[in-house]
Amino acid sequence: MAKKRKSTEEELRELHRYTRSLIEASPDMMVTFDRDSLIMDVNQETVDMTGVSREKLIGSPFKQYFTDPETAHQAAMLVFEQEKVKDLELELELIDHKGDHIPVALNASVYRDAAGKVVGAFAIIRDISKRKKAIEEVQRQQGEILELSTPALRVWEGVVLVPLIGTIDTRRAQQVMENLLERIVSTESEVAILDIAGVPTMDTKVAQHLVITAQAAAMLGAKTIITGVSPSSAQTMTKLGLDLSRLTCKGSLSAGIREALDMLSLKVVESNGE
Amino acid sequence: MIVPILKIGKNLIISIQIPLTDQQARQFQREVLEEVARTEAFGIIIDITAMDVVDSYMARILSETAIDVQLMGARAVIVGIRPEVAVTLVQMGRGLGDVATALNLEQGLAKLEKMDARKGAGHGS
Repeated sequence: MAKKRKSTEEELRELHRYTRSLIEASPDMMVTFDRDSLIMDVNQETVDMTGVSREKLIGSPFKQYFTDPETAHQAAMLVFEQEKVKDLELELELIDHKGDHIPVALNASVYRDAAGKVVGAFAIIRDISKRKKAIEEVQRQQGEILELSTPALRVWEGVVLVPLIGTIDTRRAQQVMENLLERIVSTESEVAILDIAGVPTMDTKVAQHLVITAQAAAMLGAKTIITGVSPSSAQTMTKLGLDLSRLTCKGSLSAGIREALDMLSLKVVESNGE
Repeated sequence: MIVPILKIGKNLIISIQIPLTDQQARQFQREVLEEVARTEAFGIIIDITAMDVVDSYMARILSETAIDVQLMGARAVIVGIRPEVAVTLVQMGRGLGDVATALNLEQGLAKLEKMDARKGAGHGS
């Protein structure tokens, strides 16, 4: 084989070239820095991203390429402290060659010499702007869905209706409560109807939230009527032993609306034809 | 007086505009009760619209005051509780008990009016 004929020195050089080429080819930025967080080595991607030449990068402080140098310095120090950091909680933003701020994730660990002494830290910095944008988009949509899924309707003067549809988790229950209270204030309502016909399962938390909502509404001077309590929901609520004496419950929404009108001393009468 | 107490007809209107320290809250309670006795008011309305924060001590003072007023033969309604205040109080497990509440001064007055009609002329003198 041709390889055998090569000298050891040549072999070493080739190995070095190979490892170096891998580092240089990395699509993530790779940086090594010392205990004073001065950069010791960088790869091509780092040069491309920052737009700063390799000569200038090496020897310069690691932190100066970030929007918030203090946090970056803190991150660098953390690496030496913990010896290995992954998906650091700290939010870092790199300043790129166009002056744009790029959100990045930092994975780093210390590396050692042959004697096992820590020589420096090796950091992989990944551009997460796309991921971040996607997350933000999801969060925005979640907020929108939440907004859409908890409408508070004014069905009559002094009556607001909140139809609950779908599974209710703690976050949504909180949103329902806030929405309802806000609507009570803005419409100056005296009665609030919570229709839970569309809620498939009732658990402790949801039931508790209903009670809390009713109590909070009572403080604003509004009475709460719960409608659409299914047989299974009713069983759950009694089994949980919650104090429901303050809640007015009605089987159907129409019965609830009738009750609400009753509370306001209003009556629906037949017109007896023209 | 720590909080101005206004008499309108047979009702007293008390609007708390500034946060009260615990000591001031006790003084407030005393003054309200004295004023109810002095004016022989039918009902009182405590307006807390201006209060962003109601701690558990203040909540106790408010509900105590309302109950004391009722013991003296008058009616009490607490109005203007903000949604966030209501939520906090309920979550602290500290409601206002059976104290009557209303959204605002107007509805509070209407509530007193209703109590008046229901309870007859036996109160207020």
